[in-house]
Amino acid sequence: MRIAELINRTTLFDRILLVFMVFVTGAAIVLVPLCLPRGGQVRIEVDNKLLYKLPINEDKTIPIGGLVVEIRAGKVRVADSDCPGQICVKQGWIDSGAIICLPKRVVITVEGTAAVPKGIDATT
Amino acid sequence: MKPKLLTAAAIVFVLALIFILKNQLNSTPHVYKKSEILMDTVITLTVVTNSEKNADEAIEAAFNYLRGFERMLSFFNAGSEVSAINKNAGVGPVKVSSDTYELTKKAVENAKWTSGSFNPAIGPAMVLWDFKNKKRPTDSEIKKVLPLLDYTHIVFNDNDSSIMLKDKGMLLDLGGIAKGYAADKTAEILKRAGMQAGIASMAGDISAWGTRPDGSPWRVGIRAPRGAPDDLVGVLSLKDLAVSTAGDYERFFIEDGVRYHHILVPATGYPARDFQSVTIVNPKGVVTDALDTGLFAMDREKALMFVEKNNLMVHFIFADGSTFTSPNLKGLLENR
Repeated sequence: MRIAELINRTTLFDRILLVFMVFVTGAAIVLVPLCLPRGGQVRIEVDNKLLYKLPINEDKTIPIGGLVVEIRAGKVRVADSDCPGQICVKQGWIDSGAIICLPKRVVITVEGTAAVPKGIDATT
Repeated sequence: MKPKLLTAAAIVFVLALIFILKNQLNSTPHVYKKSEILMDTVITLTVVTNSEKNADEAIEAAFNYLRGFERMLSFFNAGSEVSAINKNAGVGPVKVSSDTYELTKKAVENAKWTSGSFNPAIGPAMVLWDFKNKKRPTDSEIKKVLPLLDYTHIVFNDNDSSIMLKDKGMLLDLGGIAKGYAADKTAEILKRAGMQAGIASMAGDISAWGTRPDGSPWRVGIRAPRGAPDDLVGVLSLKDLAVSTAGDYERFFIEDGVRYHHILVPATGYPARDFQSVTIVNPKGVVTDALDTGLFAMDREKALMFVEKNNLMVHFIFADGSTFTSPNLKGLLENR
């Protein structure tokens, strides 16, 4: 099928659909980052299942299937792993974004609500 | 697939997306913060809510209350109710607003509880000290006013909400308790306005309710008495609790190596000597504010006994720099 032929065969609905898709894609690109603010929570998913959702400012060490995830001082890292590549361990501390260990199917994401004060909220 | 079906699918998709985004926005609470200078100090209100508009309205209502509160209770404002009570000392009772009445009653309750170590009748001794101009009174000036510091001579009449100071020369000074009371009341106003969590901070007198948006407790730093203003000795994790700190670093001057500060021992009229700072945590700000001063004005042994007897949550920094944290506060305090 030629391109010209293809365009010729489009109906009004097809064109509306196309405009819709372009609009939705554009809106999503702008809006989604606004709706997913940084910092606050650490999500640990294994095999796409959410196992832990933890505040990033509470220190904790969690062993998960050959991995050791450490949360300390508002940051998270994979402290140890028995996987061959050690990519996740080499990535070190993060306070935003994600650490992904593909062989273990572990995804560690830092997310949360906007404007969460990381340090001190008040002083007495 | 037919074009009509495709369009329908696209519309459903868009609606779903809008719904998800809207939900995401509404379910994400934000922290809103505003500071104003009132009552000779910086007052910062922090709230957690989904709507900026609601936050603004609630914070404005709270500041409005606080402005009125300042007008009624200021020791220095000649038009305040406290000034009216003081002017009529030894003369007659003065009818006051419910806030002034309730607060003065609470002040006297706390005075009784601490056997006068916290004292809302401290006024005549307080006015002799001029910390701004580094002037201290003579011994005889202080001795002369000691009989006027009798809080049992604050007379209440529940029938018409009036207060009278029995003796001429007495001065009611609610400075040691008003901010904690204001923190409680402000937190109540903000809660009633639908603010799910927040902090009402009247300088060092803080009432915190709920949690941060991420569900963790609020973090309140305790100032280091001899460090820079942002140096901390520890951080408290608070949820539905108030905290106050009394410190010898707030208003003071040093003369011949001696530090003269604003927390006076009511029995002597001189600055208390056993502490650098006293921090106390309690569900009620009115209690923390009265007791930080009350404990500070005790001697070390008496303060420790009082804390144990009443099962209070405290962190003490003694004059020699050593510290004490009550066992019931240890879980909430992270030392720096």
